[in-house]
Amino acid sequence: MKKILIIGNGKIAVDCASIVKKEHDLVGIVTEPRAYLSGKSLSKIPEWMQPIEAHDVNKIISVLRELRPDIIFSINNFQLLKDEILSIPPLGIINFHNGPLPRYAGLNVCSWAIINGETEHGVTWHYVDKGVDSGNIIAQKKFPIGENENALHLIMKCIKEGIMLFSEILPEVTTHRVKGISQDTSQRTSYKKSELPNNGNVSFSWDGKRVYNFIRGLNFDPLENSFVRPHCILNNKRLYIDEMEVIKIAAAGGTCGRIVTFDDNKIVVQVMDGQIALKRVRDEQQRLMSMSECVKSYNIQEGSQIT
Amino acid sequence: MMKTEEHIVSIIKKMKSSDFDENNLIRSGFLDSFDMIKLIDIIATEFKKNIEGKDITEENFNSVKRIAALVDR
Repeated sequence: MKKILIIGNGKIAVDCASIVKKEHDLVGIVTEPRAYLSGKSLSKIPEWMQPIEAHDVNKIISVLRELRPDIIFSINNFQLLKDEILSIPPLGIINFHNGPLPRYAGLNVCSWAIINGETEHGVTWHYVDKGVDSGNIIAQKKFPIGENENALHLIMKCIKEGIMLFSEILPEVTTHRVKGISQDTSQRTSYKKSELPNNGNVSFSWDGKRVYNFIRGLNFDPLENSFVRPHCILNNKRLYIDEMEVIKIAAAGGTCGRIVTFDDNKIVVQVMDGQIALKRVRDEQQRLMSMSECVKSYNIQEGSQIT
Repeated sequence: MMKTEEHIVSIIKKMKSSDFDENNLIRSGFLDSFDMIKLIDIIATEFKKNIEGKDITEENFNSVKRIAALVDR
């Protein structure tokens, strides 16, 4: 039985804590404000769990010195762990990453993978070293990305797979410090928090599939979108796009971005290799609106140009 | 026609296949965030009703009655 500390948030941290508790001494859970531990209060924190709120690194260090964990798991944790923390637990610090390292390091990687047209994604448990998502890999699981999966679906899949993989690695990493596999840095892409795909702008000069990937990769429905909502400009007003479908491949309809036709359910727009139908849109204040409202307020006509 | 509340109860029963307190879905820990997202997906299909992120709160989902009110709004 080892002393284990978890630094993290959300469902995955809660579920991994439950797994730890069965075999080990869970000495604490360090989290950002309470609401986040339960995925913005969407799910209940179990009674036995008494989260330690820690907003800054110095607080975390003092908690660690007091609790003296053998091993720390960083799970859905948004704080960078400083060097002085790394040497505290004898069995190291292990982080969960919701992407296949080394190719998808950094933040918002589920969105980036879909936008980049990947058909496979993965989750990784790795040791924490001085870099970001750069320590030796302990375990990785890969799985396909469904053709119509959006960002939230993929995040949820990562959480499920991550929890299953956690159960598998726990017996070993709590007995000794495993060697793991070092990351091939030449394969690495690291996405920064501030980095937005094409600044959120949908380009109608892309092919239909690429536009579709862009929009579903930035769709977190029904949760709030805290990354960026895909948008375009129509008659000098910003229009946000939640959902669309590719309707015609290789159809001629004029220049890219031209509105070919519209009705109460859809707006059909020309793209590079065919036509797409916008199915769910939002106004400048990001409020959902019906297609008829959209047609009226954006003064849409056949031949209107979206940029 | 089945009332909204009954319909929601039947959806949750199918999802979880166990007994539950209709007035204490979230606070009891019966539904977690994954269950809620699944439930919202099913509601979107069966009721043709999109629930927006701002409405996804513990208060709105803790009871069948409140969920039904959201659907019927």
